[in-house]
Amino acid sequence: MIGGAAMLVIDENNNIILTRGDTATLDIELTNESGEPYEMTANDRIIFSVRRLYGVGDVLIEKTSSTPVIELSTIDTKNLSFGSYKYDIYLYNSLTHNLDTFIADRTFTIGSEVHEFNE
Amino acid sequence: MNSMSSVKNRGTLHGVVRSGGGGGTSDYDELQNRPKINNKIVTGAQSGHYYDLAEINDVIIKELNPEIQAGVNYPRLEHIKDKDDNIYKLTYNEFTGGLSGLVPSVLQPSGKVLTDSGNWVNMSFSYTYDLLWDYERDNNNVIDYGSYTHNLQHSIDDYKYLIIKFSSTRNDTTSARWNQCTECYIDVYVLTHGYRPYRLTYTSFGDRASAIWFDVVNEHNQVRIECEDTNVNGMTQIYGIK
Repeated sequence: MIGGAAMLVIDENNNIILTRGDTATLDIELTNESGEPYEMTANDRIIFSVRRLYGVGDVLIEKTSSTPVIELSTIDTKNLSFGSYKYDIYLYNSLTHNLDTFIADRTFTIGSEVHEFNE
Repeated sequence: MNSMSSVKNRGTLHGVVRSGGGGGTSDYDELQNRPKINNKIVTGAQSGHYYDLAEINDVIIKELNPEIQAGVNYPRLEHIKDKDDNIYKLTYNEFTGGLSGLVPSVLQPSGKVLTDSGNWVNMSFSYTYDLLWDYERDNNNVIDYGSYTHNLQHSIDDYKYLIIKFSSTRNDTTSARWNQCTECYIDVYVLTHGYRPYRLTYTSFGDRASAIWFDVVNEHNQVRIECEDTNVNGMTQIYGIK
């Protein structure tokens, strides 16, 4: 990104670029197969997981939310190496135990920061 | 701490869910549309000609039961050695635990052995194998570390599957890591008829990743093996299952 504004970039394929250590809010627009908005139920949870390679190895970031919003904090990425990771997001229903991976095998790139943030 | 309330990273992701909150996987549909060979789903990035470890296991999952709606990393098959030295049984791992006991997050052995009594959950098969490739060793018969290329002298035509066993690093051979993602299956038909070369990626050591490449080198279906990266190195065994 030109101008140093690439703190958070999401492309049309849901690939994410985030500056290391930045906070970020990821809003998730869920639709059903008919294209209508999907309203989460009380039993729905959204789980966001980041790994180095897709489906293999340790989960480096995992966020669970009962709303279609994922909040990333500084601690989530500040210790990760720069480079590309893989993420997925699935919907889990605790009542039916159904699991729906609605975003799979997308890239989560950690970009370099020019500052150092110490809490 | 500075107030940053007026500046916030915010973006929107888009996802399509099935009605009822998780009736399957949306990207699973995309997987279904990927090329099929002999009615097997061939996953992996076509443009890059590679297959990841979890995806290979998915090919097997689909073959065992095409109806199962497994996520690309869930559940994960694992085979265990039986008392008989030459017999293996398939088990599978599943996610348990997690936040409030509701969210699956930890891959743990289920302890369930798959049998062929009916549905996939209880299905298993025993098989015999031939060791086609053992660890690369040096002149002192010590397992050799370092990337290498080698042509497998066996024709793989006689085998239905190859089992690839990656082993841990020299200083990290705890049983937990030893058992983590150390084995995968290759369908020989896919290997000889699919996209090539055939890359398996493997990682269980933090952010380190290693890969092994397979390529069919001649009409006898002999295979060239290339191990890259120096983290897993030559610690690879290859078995053939008929």
